Amino acid sequence: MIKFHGVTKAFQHDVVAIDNIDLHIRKGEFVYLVGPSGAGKSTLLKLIYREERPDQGQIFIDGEDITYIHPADIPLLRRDVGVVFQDFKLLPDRTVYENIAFTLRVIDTTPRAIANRVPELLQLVGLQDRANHFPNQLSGGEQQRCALARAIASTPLIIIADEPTGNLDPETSMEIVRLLGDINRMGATVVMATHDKAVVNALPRRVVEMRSGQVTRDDASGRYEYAG
Amino acid sequence: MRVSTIGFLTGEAFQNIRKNGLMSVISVITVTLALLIFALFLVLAYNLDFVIGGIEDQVEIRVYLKGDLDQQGIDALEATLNANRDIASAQFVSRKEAMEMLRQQFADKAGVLAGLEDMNPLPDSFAIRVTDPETADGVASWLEGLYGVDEVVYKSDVIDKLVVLAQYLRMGALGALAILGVATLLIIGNTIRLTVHARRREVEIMKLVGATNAFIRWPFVLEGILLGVIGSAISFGGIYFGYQWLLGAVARYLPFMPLAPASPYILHLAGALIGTGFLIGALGSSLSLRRYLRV
Repeated sequence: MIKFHGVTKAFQHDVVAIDNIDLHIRKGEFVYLVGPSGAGKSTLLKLIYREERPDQGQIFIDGEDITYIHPADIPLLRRDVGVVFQDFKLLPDRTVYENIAFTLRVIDTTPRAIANRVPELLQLVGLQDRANHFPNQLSGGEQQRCALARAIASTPLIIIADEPTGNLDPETSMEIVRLLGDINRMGATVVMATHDKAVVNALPRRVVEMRSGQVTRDDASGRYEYAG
Repeated sequence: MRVSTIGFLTGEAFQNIRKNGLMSVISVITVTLALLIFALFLVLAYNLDFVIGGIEDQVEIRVYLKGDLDQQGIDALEATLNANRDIASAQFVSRKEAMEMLRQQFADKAGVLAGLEDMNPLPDSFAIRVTDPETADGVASWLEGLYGVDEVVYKSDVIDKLVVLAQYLRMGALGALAILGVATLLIIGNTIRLTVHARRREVEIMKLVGATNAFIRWPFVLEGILLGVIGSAISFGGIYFGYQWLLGAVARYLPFMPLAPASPYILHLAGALIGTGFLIGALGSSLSLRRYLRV
């Protein structure tokens, strides 16, 4: 589903963020991406949803080479890749319902399909009672649920989560990762960058560890143990 | 594109204008003022055209005859002239009569004509009025080909000068439009830049979830177009009602002053103003988006 082939990405002043990485993530996998800050985790994720372009190497998404993808095709790629962040990135002046509907709206979904799909998504993430709340009226966990509902609105093949539990308490973090697990079981491939030792160890899955832009460990069912 | 999508994008554009209240108002005022000045030049030029047309209606074609044409030739020519349907009247002015008129014109400066009593340099001529001023050009060239005709004169210098003046006014209108147009473009561009800034979160999310670039751009372009069209509509309204008022006032207090009637010219003016407003808005927002909306 996601294949990196000799991928290198450097930023100005020759800061190498991703250094000749080979990585293969199969359809339906759930992968934790761990490692210290500045190891290149976020850059690797950004390469998947084409927020960044590789300097060298090739990247395949669902069998398609996106290394030289036409700019006009990037939106279509993004509809196949849902993304959630540590800071949720919800629109503060729109309700939960509107935040999700907005996403569907801007990828040209019909009003009727939106009216059907949004309640379905709210049900899925357990926010059916919060539809008319604004983000600042929600707890952090609820905001992240809303962001998740938005990320899966276009039924993407891949979910990218960049430190999704970074702003949440341990209990809420576990809920969010369980929800990601539910979405994974429904068929989406999930890649989650995290610092959350407790979550990784409590719900063990494939762990890819990065340091200085390189993959230093890849365990099929590992623990979060780069620190020691 | 679906109707619901067009509705959504238009709604977003109106929302942008509302949220961006002050800058939107400033943009509209700028468009309005710029186009008002443009329109004033055009109205002046139009009125000058009207005056020129009026003078041309009254103007006579003067046909000067060759000195060696005898009375028989003059009679023949007069018959030919009277047979032409485009000619309303042809009045013969002998060289003596011409000299007499000249003498009256210069009555107080008799010295100018001193010495011309014995050798009158003026030729015989016909003063001709055409039935339709539109045909004046054709009649004039027809006259030139007639036997015994030396010279045909029908456009006075005054008209030529007025025509040039009208030309300058039109150039002035375009010049004003060019200068003020650039200022207006910048103001609209800046407004759109502020909207883009205010909506950067929305834009970021739109990009993230896979909205096409066209979809992201539309509300901003539409916002610029709306600002341009609203501004031009207000300037047109101002010109329209201002001109109606002026027509009324002039008819009452300066009835001898020729002012062009509003229609059908006013429709052309509406088209020109609103079209220009549309273009300025679309261009201003597009230029701004190119710089500030990296999609």
